Amino acid sequence: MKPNVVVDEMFPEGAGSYMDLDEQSAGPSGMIVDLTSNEKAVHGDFYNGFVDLCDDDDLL
Amino acid sequence: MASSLEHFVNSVRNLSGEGSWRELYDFLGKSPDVLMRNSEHLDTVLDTLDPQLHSLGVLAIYMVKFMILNQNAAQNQGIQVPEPEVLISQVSQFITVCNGEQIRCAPDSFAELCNQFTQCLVERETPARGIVPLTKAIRKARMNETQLTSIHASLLQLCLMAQNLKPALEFLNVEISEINSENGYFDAKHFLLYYYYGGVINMAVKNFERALYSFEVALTTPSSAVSHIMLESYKKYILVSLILHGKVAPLPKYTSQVVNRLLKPMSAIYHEITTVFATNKPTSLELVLQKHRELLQRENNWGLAKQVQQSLYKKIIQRLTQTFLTLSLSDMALRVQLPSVMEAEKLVLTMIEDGDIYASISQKDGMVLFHDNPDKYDSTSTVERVQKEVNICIELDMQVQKMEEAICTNPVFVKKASGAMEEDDGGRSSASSALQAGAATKVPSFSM
Amino acid sequence: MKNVLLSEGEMSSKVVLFESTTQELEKQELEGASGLVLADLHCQLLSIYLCNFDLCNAKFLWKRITNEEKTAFPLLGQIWEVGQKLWLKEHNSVFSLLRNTSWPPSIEPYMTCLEENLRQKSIQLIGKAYLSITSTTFTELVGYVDYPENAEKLLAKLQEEQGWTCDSASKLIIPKRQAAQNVPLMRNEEQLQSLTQFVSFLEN
Repeated sequence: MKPNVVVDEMFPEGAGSYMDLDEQSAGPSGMIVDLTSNEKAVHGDFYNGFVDLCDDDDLL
Repeated sequence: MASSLEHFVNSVRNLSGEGSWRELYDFLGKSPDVLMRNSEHLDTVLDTLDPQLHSLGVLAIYMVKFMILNQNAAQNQGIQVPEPEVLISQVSQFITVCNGEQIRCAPDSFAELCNQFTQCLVERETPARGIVPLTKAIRKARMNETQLTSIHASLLQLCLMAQNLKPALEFLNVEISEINSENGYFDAKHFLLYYYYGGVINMAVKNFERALYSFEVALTTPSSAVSHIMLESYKKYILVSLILHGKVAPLPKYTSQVVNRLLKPMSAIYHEITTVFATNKPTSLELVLQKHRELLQRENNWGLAKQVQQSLYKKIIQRLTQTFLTLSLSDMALRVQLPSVMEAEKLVLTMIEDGDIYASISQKDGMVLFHDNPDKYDSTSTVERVQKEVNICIELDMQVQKMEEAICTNPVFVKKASGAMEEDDGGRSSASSALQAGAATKVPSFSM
Repeated sequence: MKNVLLSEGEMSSKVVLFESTTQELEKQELEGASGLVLADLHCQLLSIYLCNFDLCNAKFLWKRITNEEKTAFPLLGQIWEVGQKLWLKEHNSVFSLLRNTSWPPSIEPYMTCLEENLRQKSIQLIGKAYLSITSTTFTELVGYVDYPENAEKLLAKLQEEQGWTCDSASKLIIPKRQAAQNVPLMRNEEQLQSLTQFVSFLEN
């Protein structure tokens, strides 16, 4: 699946041969957040249970 | 000591002595079973090894100790389970003394050790104890200052949990330019967490500019799935953007479609806040915030939302400076919907102090006078600033050139690029039909 | 201890006060100090953050101190009370807390430093933000509500040294905006060199 080529005013002649690479070239553990077959969402288990660190009224 | 353990110790010593790290790495990959079976002797084995000379061997033993610690009671029948407190101390010490060159030969194992160490501290609710060791671990594991490792995210997590943010800043104030793949251990999650936690830390110490950038990087990571880390980054991106710029700047073109298609509808109340913020009515904003208070608190964004409220007062005052030359403090209190003249004066004073507006207060007649920016940009400090910015651009350009060279000389790229060209000769239609048919390889079919 | 009186120039160029002490204390905290040593270190570190108006780090430090330690060492709470008032910009309360608390010798120098820093900061802000200011507000902002004679002395000094004026009948003070600082000019050859560098970058 190739992404739709976005016409960019910076590159009127197209994005060049870089875009022709499949996304798979990033490898299985590459930097693309990808969906495996039966997942709807990922990273649901990441740690986010900190206290509210931005509460300026919390001075006690 | 069992003979299999003796074999382990001898191999570690010999291969370390020869500097055959690759072979040792392969050997250690096969050794967990042996070590697990001899769990009661692991400390004896540790005594026979030198953590500096035999870093990889010692690393393998601690890995197995964590494996045992994570197994359930049934699995651990007849196995000596390590005492977590002792293990934490041992591993802290090991990270401090181990040989960097050696552990860089087993980046995946070292990363996993740091991860286990972090999880153990999190479970025992003693995050602060891991801050110094992980700081040292990162310095040893990375190839250079601007390289990102999976350990970065762990350190930031511990700093946030311990409410000790300063140690994290030196790792957030560098421009990350590459990723240590850690033999495939490094995952998109580590990348996203570094930027998400980094954003949270920066906004907590009120480096909003840097926080916004951090959330933006997380948010624009190529993605075809909904990542919860990206979702939370998106919500905070909106609020920080309102605080900093008084509006939400559009995301860059390269943002994945997932963000617009899925993250937006999942962040409805944040869009409601943005919309009401744009009407410049503090009381309306307050109503909306109060309406969603519970959810905002649950999502840990209540403090940030209150700062958005404060920034709306400031934004309105900034707008007034564009319309008026002078304004009485009482008139201002009314227009900004502030409770009293005193509050208005206090806010104006703060804004002058922070450089948000150029104005003077006259207590003689209770007026505020607005000025133009007094800076004529004709001073040496302007020259210095320009020079600094240009230097940043030059450095960035050099970085990009270096990366381009690395890509162009990468055999995989060269192969793919030339392959793509050949494909062009053969015609695109057949290639695309092969893709549609789900063919994974591009082997030409002769039967057609 | 270093000279705690800062000139205008030093104030604006963001010097970090007690920098090496700070680093040492932060290190000791992370390396697992405990008991009396830890409490003493927390008191000092908290005071230093306040001296630098580093309120965020002061707050997080306060937040990570255990309740047991806070109870056992009430001095911590006394220092943080100053921090709270700074956070709320209640300068008058800050000054009166600084002066009316009897600080132990290990903390007192920091508090003296903080008091003077805050006063200097206020004077600078008044010069920047007020065309005219009543002597009441002035006295409040420089922390001399209970010491009117000190306020008068300071005002006299500002009149003499910085050209402020004061109308004794209306009790209105007219501060004088501090002129922009003289940044030393860059040496010509340095400038030429960096320009050469830019041009060669643009051409390549």
